Amino acid sequence: MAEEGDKALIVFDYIYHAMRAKHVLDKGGFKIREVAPPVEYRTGCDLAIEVETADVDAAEETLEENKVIILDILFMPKGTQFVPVFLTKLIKTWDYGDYMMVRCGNMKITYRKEDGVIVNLSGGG
Amino acid sequence: MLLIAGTIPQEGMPLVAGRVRLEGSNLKADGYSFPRIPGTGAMISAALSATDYLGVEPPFIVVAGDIGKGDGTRLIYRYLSENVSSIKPDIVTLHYCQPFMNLLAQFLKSVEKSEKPPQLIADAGAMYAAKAAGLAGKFSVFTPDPSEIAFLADPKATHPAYISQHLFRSEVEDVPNLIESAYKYNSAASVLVVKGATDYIARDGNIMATVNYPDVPTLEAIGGTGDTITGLVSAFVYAGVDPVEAGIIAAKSNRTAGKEVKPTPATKVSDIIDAFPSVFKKHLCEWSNICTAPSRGG
Repeated sequence: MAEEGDKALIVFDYIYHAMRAKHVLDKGGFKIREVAPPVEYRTGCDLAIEVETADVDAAEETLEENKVIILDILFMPKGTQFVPVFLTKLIKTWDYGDYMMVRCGNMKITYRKEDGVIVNLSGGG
Repeated sequence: MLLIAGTIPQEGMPLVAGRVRLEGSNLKADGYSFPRIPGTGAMISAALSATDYLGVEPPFIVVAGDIGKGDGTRLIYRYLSENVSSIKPDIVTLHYCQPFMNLLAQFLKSVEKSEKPPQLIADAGAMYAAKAAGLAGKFSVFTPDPSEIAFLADPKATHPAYISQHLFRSEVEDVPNLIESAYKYNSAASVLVVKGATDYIARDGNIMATVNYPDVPTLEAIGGTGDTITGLVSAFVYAGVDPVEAGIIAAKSNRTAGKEVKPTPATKVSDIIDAFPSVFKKHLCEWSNICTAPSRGG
């Protein structure tokens, strides 16, 4: 039986689904955290979503309703610690006058301020 | 042979393996044409520009479409693992791909079985996989940017997105310490060419050179200007240049070409690549002992 504070991990096979899952679950008011998935589940550019065990069924239903494809849900031993991934903390901006560059980790987007058109992309691995 | 492998962000692009050439503004190999866009395309273009200038064989490329699903990456590694022994490349440069550690390890096993194992160079996803799988020591050269050297320096990180401490604390001035850590944790290739506001070239734990002139800050905003360094390093090493010297030449060439085109943040990397031949002509002899014929016939 799930106890308060137990965590489950929702893992995805494609980062697009992980990012959509964060958006959908945030909007649904779930208490979640973005973390690096366990090594054996990593394929590279991926994220996992940590949720309270008690919220798993509701979170799964919400994701299904929003057509977010889940790879697996892992029920983690009590006390398991995952590395948090604070994407927003990685974001930095550079002002080039008519253009703005936004960097997140090793990924960069440069856009023209006048109309928001992306003029250059870089990084990602 | 210089073999360059990497993915192209085009869904459905098949595996393409063959000698590459420039056709108009595109690259063409094995009957397939694709643009000189940031990533593997820019890297190949820069290498091709240098091999043309040096008079050595153009790169043999192995590319496939992959928009992040891993399909193209699997095709490339399967081809490389099955064919590296028969193709017998002198240099293999691995670039953008999904960082599948098991596939890289499988390829390296094939490399070790080769009669004459090639020198290995890596950047981007292939470099991430090499570090995460503990196989960095098998490589001659890595070409990370500052965030990627932070990843190499973090013993717990398996991808730049998962760096827990260095990336939040570090800025450019920490690069020498990050280089030291990367070697300490056996997460570095023999030579590191760290691309950034200052380019650092290190070998076996020691910083051998730095390049910070000309300073063209706009290059930071132009996608592919790090990829071009990897391509140039690959071509010069293939032409017989020591990897440290190749890193210095690549850094200087990239900066000088960037300055020549007077870039804006909207400039395309192909414009910078097109400036390489004139940069080589003007400066290569001054920067190196490459003043006449190349040292390797290809």
